[in-house]
Amino acid sequence: MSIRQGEESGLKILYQQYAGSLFGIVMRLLNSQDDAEEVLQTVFLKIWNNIDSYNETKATLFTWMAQIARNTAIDRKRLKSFEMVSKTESFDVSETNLRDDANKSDIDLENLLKDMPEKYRVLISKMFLEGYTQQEIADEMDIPLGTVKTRLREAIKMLRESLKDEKHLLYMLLIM
Amino acid sequence: MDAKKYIESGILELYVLGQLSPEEEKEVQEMQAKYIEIQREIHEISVGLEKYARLNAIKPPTHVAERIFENLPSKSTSSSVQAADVIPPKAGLTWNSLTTLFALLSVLGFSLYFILKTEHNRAVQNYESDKKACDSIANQQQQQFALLNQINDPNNMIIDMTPTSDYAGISVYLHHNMVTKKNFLQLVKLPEITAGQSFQLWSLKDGADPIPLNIFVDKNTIIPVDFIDQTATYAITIEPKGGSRTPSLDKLIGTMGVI
Repeated sequence: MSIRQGEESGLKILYQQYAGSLFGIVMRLLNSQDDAEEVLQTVFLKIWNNIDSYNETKATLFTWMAQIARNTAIDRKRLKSFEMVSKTESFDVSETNLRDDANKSDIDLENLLKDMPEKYRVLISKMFLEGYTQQEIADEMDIPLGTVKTRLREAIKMLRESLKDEKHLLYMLLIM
Repeated sequence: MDAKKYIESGILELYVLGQLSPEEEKEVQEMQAKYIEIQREIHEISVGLEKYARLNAIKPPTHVAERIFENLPSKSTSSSVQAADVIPPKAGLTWNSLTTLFALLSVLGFSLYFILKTEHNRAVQNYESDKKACDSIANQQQQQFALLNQINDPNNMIIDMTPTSDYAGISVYLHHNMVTKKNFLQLVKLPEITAGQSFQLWSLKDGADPIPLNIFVDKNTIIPVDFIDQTATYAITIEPKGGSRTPSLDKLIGTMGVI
């Protein structure tokens, strides 16, 4: 891969091929054109700086880039929430994030999560909406890591079953 | 563990999203190597993600690309030119010492000029040669992208080769696309062959002689191979270098049924 040798032309090809798909992901996560543009710049900078850590035996190139896009967008979202909380002390961050997300797309996430028991919904939200790791969820909710893992897989299993086209699931999880 | 239950457990989605611990990732990789269904599911999850991302793509404004490429940090390590330290003349220097200093500075200046000129010429030569190498690598990369797009085509069927008893443990996948009429062989594990031998692909049709196809010696790679309409089974044999017109059945490595 020529980008690995520091060739800008390699990154240009990646941009031509994938910028639209990645911009779609960050736009749905952030709901703000300005933020999404800044995040997309950061994403390509991270791709450029970290291409050596991409392992093609673990994930496709797009999946790897999509993870970077999602994590960068979540970082931006957290920063924004923090800034807003700093301005308004009584502000409820998680509720606001949820309301923002429910408005945001042609993909009906709200309905998908509606029938899910609370203990699973919280877990899905923490992991995919707020970007927690499984260990962080276990620590914060004070439940064993093993329970987090089991519940998370059960939650994904439920989502798979409730979707007619289960290949859609990953994209939905990515843009939560 | 049952592959179907494993697929339905939700672990593969977490794997593709990079949300598993290193131990769990290792477990998925072992299961993937063991069960073709799991490998296929991971492939489909990844292709599905890319497909939906493309369907929901939003074109970023052109100024975003401009900003990215204008501010891209260089990855090459640049050597800095060392400037000569200039000592300011002290007051009270004699005419002779000033003349000597001037002569020394002139010699230093000319030397520096010739050194920099040589460096410049060398840099121009390096640039020309690097540019050729870059163009060639960019070209290779475009070919790899084209190959990747074809391998990720949702219409691809991935067929696991059934090895013959002499070649148990050998692993080859046929990526077979009836829509684009293209075939690719993913050569995961092939037997050792001598310098005088090569592998050969065959098309087997009902009631017809085997049709000799591609000859190759590659390993651990993906190669495009011939697509023959109405083939019932593709087979791989070991043949003398350069291939044969009829297959050596005693060296049949395995078969891949496509009907």
